[in-house]
Amino acid sequence: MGRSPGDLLIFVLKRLLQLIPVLIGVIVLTFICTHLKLSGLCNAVYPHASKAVIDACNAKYGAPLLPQFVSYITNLLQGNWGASTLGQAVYPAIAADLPATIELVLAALFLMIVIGIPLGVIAAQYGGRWADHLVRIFYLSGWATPTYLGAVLAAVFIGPALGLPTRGEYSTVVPPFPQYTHMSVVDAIIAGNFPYTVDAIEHLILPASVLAFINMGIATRMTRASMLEVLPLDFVRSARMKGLSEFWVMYKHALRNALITTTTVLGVTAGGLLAGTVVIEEVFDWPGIGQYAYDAIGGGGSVANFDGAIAVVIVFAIGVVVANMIADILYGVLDPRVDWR
Amino acid sequence: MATATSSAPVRRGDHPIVVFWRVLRANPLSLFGFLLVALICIVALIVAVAPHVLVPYGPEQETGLFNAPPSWAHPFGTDGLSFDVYSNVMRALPLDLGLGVGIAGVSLVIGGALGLIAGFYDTPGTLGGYTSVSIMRVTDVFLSFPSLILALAITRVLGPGILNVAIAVIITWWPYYVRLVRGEVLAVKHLPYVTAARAAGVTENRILLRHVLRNVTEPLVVYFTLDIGTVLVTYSTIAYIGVASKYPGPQPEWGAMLAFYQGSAPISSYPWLVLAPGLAVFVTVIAFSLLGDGLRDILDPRTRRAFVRGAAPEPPAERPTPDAPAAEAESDRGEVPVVAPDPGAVA
Repeated sequence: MGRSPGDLLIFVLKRLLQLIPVLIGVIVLTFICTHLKLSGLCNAVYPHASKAVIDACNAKYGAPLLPQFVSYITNLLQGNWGASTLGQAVYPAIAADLPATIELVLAALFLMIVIGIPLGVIAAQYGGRWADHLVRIFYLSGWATPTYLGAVLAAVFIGPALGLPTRGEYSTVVPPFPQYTHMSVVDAIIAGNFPYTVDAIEHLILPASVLAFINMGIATRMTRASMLEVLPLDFVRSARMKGLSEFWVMYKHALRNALITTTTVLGVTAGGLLAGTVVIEEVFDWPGIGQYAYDAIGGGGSVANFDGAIAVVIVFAIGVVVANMIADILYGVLDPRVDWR
Repeated sequence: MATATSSAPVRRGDHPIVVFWRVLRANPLSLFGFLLVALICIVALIVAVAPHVLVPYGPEQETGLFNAPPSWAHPFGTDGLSFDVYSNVMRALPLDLGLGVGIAGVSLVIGGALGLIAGFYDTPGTLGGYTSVSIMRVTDVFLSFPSLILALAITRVLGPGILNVAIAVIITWWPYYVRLVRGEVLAVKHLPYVTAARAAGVTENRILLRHVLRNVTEPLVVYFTLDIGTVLVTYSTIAYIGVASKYPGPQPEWGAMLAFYQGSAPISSYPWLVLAPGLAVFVTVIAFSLLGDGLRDILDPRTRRAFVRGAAPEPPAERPTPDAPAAEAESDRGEVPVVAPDPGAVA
């Protein structure tokens, strides 16, 4: 078995190399899907533009596909991701917005872990009894709540009822300290500004809770399933026979084994979490790429931004691929049976 | 606590409807979900065929009351354009339900067929092997996109409209079925009853359709049930974002209605406007989820054992002997073919 630190390096590097073909595939597929139907595209994107603008647009998107693809991928690799209809460059805008989205997604993931996994343990412990049914109703409710409904209800009713802020990252638009990371809580902590740290956390609670509630089902369900698989095994019985308390048996012995599967599944939720940010960031006015995507796609009747929409699709896909890779690596680290070479 | 199916073990040879009923009876939440699904389908059918029975007002018919609270005449109140909210929510039901079933159904057929091919003809070096590898490569790339985002971008290119959104969602949806079906096929294709059929001289295509496909349908149906809800949420989210269909219009849609109401009046004063279409989505989706989630418990080999034998910590038999209850429970997927031969193999 190769499980020395050097082998771990090889293991991680292998996973990183596997990213390359997937990323190429992502870019090619995005290009194909967004260039499916070219006739009339320019009229759709610029409904009220002058003929000159439409001709320029046709010259850009109406050309044969292969040369278009070559120039598209060249520009992409050079960091030139085009510009919005109003002339704002896409790449700097997305780079500035990305940290806020990562912060929101990580906060939601944290809630999913500290709430969703214990719920799964409880459901497995009382399998088939009322606690199990209640947990099931809870996570299926999250599953069945459309993101927009959850976000709007939280912003209009739950937020004011709990006295939580429902818009933006801070109570003031610009905080009185430099934003190095563009993650609200992290910046406030770096600045050592305690009131603003509390303020930033309060602003994060509602959007992160809605995002977590909607995606909770997979974590809870998977924990429950793995626990049900582990609970009848001999080592759990021995732990009980040793006289350990039920809590210790569940959370130290059984859950530790059940968590290995759940880790992998948490990587899979990255897609749902990222997709959820589109509506949640728009409703809570969270300045991340979800809100950028909402505007770029023409949500709520805004001016569509075609280059921005393509860029956002690629960035989200990269996010999912990287999340899966991290989950894969974590799985390898957690499961002692995985050989790192 | 050995509730669930311990009193009603799922035996091979029982008619699928009998099995289905036993599963429902053992799980009250799933039974509730099933009844709700049946009710929703009946109501949708009535609204689609004879709307005047259940829907008193037309899609853009003015009632003369503006933002009226819920009453007997207007169960969900009226909106800022004086339309009856109840009527429009009901008129959206056949469309939203139909889109959920339709999009998931087309994805099932496309993805299921590709998954069967990719899983069954995967001998390396043959034409089938190359086909299988290409299908899985393309599928893997599709699976790295959050489908909502890709569907939104495709809708952006195709232009607004219900059919365009449906196409966009299908383009992003079929890969999930490829992955599911291929995995099931790989699990089934080397089981003894398939080998036995091959030894008996059954042709490959016939093995695929009669022996492999038949044993893949069960998980496929469960996944499909759950998927209808997911598709509905995705579609209505695209409509909410405002690139699918517009409200008010001749054909209402829940997501578009909610987006319009959210912008038309302060929600805290007129909550029913947002709650009516929002809860319509919620109730429809949770009905399918309760049904599908309960069925999945029985099919998932990891939870099934616990459910069939009870979640109490009993050690499972290391090697299930043919007469052990565990083996009996496993046999409906053909895992213990000695006791329970695959019905397809007899043909």
